[in-house]
Amino acid sequence: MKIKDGLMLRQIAGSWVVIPMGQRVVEFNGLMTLNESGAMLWKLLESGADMEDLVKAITDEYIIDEETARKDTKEMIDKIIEKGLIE
Amino acid sequence: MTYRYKMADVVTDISTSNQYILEHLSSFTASEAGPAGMSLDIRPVNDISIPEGKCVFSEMINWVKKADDSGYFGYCETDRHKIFISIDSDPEWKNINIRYVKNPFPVDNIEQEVDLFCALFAGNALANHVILKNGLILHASCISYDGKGIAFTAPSGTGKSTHTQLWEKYKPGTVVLNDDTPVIRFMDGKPVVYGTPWSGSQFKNANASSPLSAIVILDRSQENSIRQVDSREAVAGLMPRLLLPYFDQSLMDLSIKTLEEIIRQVPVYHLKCRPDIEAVELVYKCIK
Repeated sequence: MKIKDGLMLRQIAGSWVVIPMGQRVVEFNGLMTLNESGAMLWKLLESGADMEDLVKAITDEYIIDEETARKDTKEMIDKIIEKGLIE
Repeated sequence: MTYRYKMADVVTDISTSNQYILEHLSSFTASEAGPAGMSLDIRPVNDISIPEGKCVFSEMINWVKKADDSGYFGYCETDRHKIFISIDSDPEWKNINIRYVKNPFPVDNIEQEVDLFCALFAGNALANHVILKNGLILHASCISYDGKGIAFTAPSGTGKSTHTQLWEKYKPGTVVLNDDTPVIRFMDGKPVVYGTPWSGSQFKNANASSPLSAIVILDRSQENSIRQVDSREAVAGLMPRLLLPYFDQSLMDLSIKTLEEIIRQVPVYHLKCRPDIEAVELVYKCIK
């Protein structure tokens, strides 16, 4: 899984915001905000990552059991797939 | 003939014979000496061609990043793909040429529309110029009252203008700086909001400025209420209301820095309101 190009993740006054650039603005028409863990997953997805990479990153970073991490990660992935942000 | 203007503190020289533009900008005429911050050359031509480069963004305006980072070229086409207007700028948005085809469609009389596009492109030039000067344009109806600038922002049709009309009615001395797209810039490190000649379809603006005291995100409601929001809500509320340079990453990053500084210095409120005097008083109590 990989984030489409033309989408910039930026931290603005403490908030993580995905900003579409160029033609992506017309496609997505809106902004997406992410929390800290969402931003971490996004960065991994920018360079291409599978579900296992993402779950591992979450369990490494946070005190969380694998089952919950998997569920949370899937929710986040579903959200960005639904918005059509993944290639 | 060249005319001098000052808009959002940018001394601008405009060479043109286009009467619509001259009238549009007339109240921003300036006579001060010294070099111009920005120069626009606006004139009719027989034909427009696209320079070499990469198309980066096509919506109403098609934007081309010119080869060798030599700046940007924007153009609009008729339905039959004939380019009728273009803007050509250096990377600094200092020297800008706007070219238009006098009557691209002799059958359909769109000459007036071409004039409107000339004004739109000139506004676009200023917008990009001010981004490089750490400024931003907010989609807002902005007033000055008692030396304080207040920007009311919301999606079109929410009632920004209706609300600022109430200020004009109930708070004598209120000046609408810009009813649609004011410029926010920093002067001596402090945010200042400026009226500009571009203010939406009502052309309601003033050649004036005021320190920006508050930004109000406006929502319609049955009950009036106001509260100050934190920076997270401010970002989420303001980002979609800014006229951002979606075609250029470095200009975008500059805009983000400017937004952060605005949020750091200016209180942002969420106003839920009816179109009445009580809503005006709620805001007034917050800023006085």
